[in-house]
Amino acid sequence: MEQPAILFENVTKQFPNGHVALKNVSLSFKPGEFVVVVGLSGAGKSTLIRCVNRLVTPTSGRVSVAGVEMTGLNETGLRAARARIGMIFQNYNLVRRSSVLRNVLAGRLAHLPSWRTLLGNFPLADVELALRSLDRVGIMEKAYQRADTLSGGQQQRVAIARALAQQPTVLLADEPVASLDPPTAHQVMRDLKRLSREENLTTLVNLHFIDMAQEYADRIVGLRAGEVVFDGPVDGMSEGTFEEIYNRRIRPDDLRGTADLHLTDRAAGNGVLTSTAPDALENSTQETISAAH
Amino acid sequence: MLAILVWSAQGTGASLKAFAEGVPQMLAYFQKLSPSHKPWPLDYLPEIKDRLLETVKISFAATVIGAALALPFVMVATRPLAANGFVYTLGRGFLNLIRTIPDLVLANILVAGFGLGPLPGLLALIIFTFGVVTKLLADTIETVDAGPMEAIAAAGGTRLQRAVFAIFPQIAPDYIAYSLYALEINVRVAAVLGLVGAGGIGQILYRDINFFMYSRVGMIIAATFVVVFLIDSTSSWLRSKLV
Repeated sequence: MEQPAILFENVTKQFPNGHVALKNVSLSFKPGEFVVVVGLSGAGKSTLIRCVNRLVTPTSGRVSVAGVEMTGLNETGLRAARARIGMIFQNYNLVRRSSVLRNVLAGRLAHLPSWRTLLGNFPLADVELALRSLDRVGIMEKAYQRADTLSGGQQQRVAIARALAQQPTVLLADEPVASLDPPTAHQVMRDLKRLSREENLTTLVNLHFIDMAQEYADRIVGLRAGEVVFDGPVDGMSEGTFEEIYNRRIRPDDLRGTADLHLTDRAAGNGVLTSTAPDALENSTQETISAAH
Repeated sequence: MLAILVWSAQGTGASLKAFAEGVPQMLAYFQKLSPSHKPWPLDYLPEIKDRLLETVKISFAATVIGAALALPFVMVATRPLAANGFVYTLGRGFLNLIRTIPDLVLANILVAGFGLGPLPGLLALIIFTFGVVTKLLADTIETVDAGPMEAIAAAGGTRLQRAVFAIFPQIAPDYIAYSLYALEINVRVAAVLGLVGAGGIGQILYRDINFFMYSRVGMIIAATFVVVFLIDSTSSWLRSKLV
């Protein structure tokens, strides 16, 4: 049997304030799977994703990445494991005053001797890798600009390039499009999906928007109050499934909207992917929206 | 508030009457210092120049060394960068301890150890600068955006890499501003350090006051004023450019 890329075994996380964010979660992800984790805010999505690279350490249970048990690692081992796990955040988490290139080079920190990076002396091969990573998200020409001169969508792509520069096997994305407008949000999701395909990256994305989850996911995991209440391929999902996960009616703010994708594609000069949003979903969500009013 | 004011006024013997008597005396003193009372001895200028230069050198060197020492110390004196809570408590404790010692007392102790001259003055100001800059820097670091640091940690970065890549770029302008601020204080303090025998212009000022050499005292005060004013306003201007 193939080794799972990410494995959760009976993972529970209780925070010092007593809040239980994850309750006995067991999940297994195959290499290259593009998984979207959905749930209301506070359902434990963020904790789940942070248990993978141990930004959050589970209270009990085990998390393994490519057969390495993250929960049993010491400092050095943890850094080595994190070197191959890319992560993208809602607020991009770039160093705003540093150049785009330096931000992307941060993805190489765990791959190089510490003293070299501290002197800012990056090997040429690593600088080239960083520039190539920027090229793959279409913003290589911004390499020498300060990060805070870029738009939100561009900053998120710098963050994706930083993750790519790690040459990861696993990619984590915590609400990567929550701060972006609909066209930009779709572009970032398409970038993630494309890179996941090209690199056979196991990708875990937290999303609140159900239309985006349905459009991009291979598989959807639904969390409610720290428990897995849905886990299955996206084909089997219906409006009702989401209402079960959210434990309430679907509301307009649960949807991101599709915007005019063809137009934004052409504007960005990379008209490769086009929207595949099924009309059926459009219609059914429209109904729910009117029903909610 | 009023009660506190009355209480502290009594404690210091301050009263409107004392103030009314004091002001004319002070003006009379200034009168003696001025060149109109007796022309300033211009042949005294070279010595003033040498001693002032010594004061300026002490304050510049102390600022540079003290500020340079402050940067690595934030690794133990800030919550996001310290290895653990124990190290942090220890680091902060040390910082608070050295900041409670008044600089002149510190200089006095150092003079006892190292003898008269500019060295104890320099050491006192290094310690003072280190304390001020580290404290301000540590407080700034604890309020800085933690996002980039989380990103570096997620990518497998060490504590030192987190500091250098995520924190230092964010605090660079503040670091320079705090160092300039320390310089402004250092120039003033360096001018009076001579009172305890720790070198600089203060040393001849103190001597001339004791020998009632009013014209010389007047000259020293005027020259010190000009130098302090120039450094202070340049530094303030630089700081305003940073923010």
